[in-house]
Amino acid sequence: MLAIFRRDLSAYFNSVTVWVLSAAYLFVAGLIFTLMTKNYVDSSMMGGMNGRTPNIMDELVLGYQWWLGFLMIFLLPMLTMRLLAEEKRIGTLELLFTYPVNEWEIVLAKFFASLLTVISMLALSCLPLVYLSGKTALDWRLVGSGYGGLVLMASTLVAIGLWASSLSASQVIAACITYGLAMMLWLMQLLDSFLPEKLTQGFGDDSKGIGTLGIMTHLESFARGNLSSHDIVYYLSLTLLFLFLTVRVLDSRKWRM
Amino acid sequence: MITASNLTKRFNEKTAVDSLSFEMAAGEVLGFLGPNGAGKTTTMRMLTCYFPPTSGTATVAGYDIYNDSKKIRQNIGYLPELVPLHPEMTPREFVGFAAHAKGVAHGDRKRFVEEALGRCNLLQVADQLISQLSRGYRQRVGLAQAIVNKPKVLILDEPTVGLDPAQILDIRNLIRDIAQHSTVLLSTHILPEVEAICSRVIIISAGRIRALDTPENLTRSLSSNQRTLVELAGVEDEVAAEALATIEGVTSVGPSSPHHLWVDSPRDVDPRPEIARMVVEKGWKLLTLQSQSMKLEDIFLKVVTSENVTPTLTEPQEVGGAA
Repeated sequence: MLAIFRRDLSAYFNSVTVWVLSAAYLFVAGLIFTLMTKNYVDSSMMGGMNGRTPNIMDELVLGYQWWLGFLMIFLLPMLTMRLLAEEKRIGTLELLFTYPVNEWEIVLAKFFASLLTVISMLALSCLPLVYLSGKTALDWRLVGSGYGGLVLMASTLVAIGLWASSLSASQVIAACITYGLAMMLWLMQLLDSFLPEKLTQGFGDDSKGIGTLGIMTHLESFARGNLSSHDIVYYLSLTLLFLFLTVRVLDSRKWRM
Repeated sequence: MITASNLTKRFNEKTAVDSLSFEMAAGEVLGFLGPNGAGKTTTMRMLTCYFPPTSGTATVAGYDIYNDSKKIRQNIGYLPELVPLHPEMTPREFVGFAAHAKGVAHGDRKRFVEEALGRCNLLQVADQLISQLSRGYRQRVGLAQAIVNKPKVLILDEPTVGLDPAQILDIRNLIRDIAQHSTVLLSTHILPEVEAICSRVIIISAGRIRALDTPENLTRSLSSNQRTLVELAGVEDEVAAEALATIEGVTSVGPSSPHHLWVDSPRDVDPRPEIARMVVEKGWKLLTLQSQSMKLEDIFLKVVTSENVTPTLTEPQEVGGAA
């Protein structure tokens, strides 16, 4: 498993595509951070006149992390599409199946290689916050919690992408399926406002409706620091589900007619 | 080293491999000969534990394909037909990855990789990108990843397909060299290849074994006729043919090319002394008198085609071209 993990990780770090994608991601994130900081400075000056300073965590960091998550929906499908589809296309997957490794090892190795690549990208996206912390006090526990949420969200998207990539030998198809599913999960939270109340309100008093299936909804709980177990369970269960499905797809060569 | 008993693989209604049974002793080089789509790759995929058979069983290197598939995969080297390689890696990286993934112990890894690269003559290109290598070199990288774990059994699916004649010779020598250390099962549809490197041949067609023997035995048992080539001067072909047909034991005579005639006789009858005597008696000039054994190509064609192609009706050279 370690061999495949290392091979895939080095394939990521040797790939021009990955560097271009990371650069684009960080560039857009940095741009958004700059705009938001300017916004925050403006509004805190106005607030200062009214005797009320906005909270930097709520107004700036939370929004920045929301954007980091939102941008991942567009970035990650392009990162994961080649994982299995490319190996299928050139045939190395057949070779891999004749090595003494099982399907779970292949899937997990690729999953973690991909996740680690995303994590190193997210680590770089921390830099503006480090810079900011030199100017003003930040609640690092909240920042950490937000990033924890981002990593969990990334793992869900990577698992979905990995599964999509196992379905065919075409990277384009893999990317399309991942985009479709990621968009669907994102738009879930909008359903609340469209569907009749009966459907959107769950059972019991404090339960939320169908909007809780939204992939960005849970990210907010992490960034605000008021997360509960179901936020973690949401990401982990989706991740495990899609990893399991990927293994089943790889397994299917044994019985498919 | 390999035993297969009643291996069967069905895809939907189509039976790709139909109750295949054979055994392979250690150190043997077995050639899997058959037309495209005969079930060679499917059989190899079952033996390498890529997928299980629909029914039947097999052991490879002493392990069962159902219960010890991981053990088998540790002890084999496999080269699929299309030589799948990661183009963005160098041969050294790729073979190193194969060694690691195949579970070669950390301490041995570097040595095993260098040995495999050396045996496949890859050391001078070991640090170039695979995408920049020629077809012949890529084939060697494929072989190097197969032998890097010093497998007991080597399974090669059409190892020389798509190579130029010099490269084919090269790879064949390499396989012969490798065969000294391990048992080799290779598939091919190139006949001289089998004659050149295999100790035994399985002829397979439409998923079934049609023949299994040494190339020499196959030639002997399947050729019912012996053919003799005669080149004469000083006589018209038709006259000579008529006369030669009267020799005792000769079953038929026909023209091969101008001034060349073929003479067929049962396998245990050698008509050559009689032909020579007749030529001298008639005062013709004898230029060639040569016994021709039936080539593996003829046998192959005879065995895999449903129509009975008899050697008396076809010219060996033409058959070779068609195969």
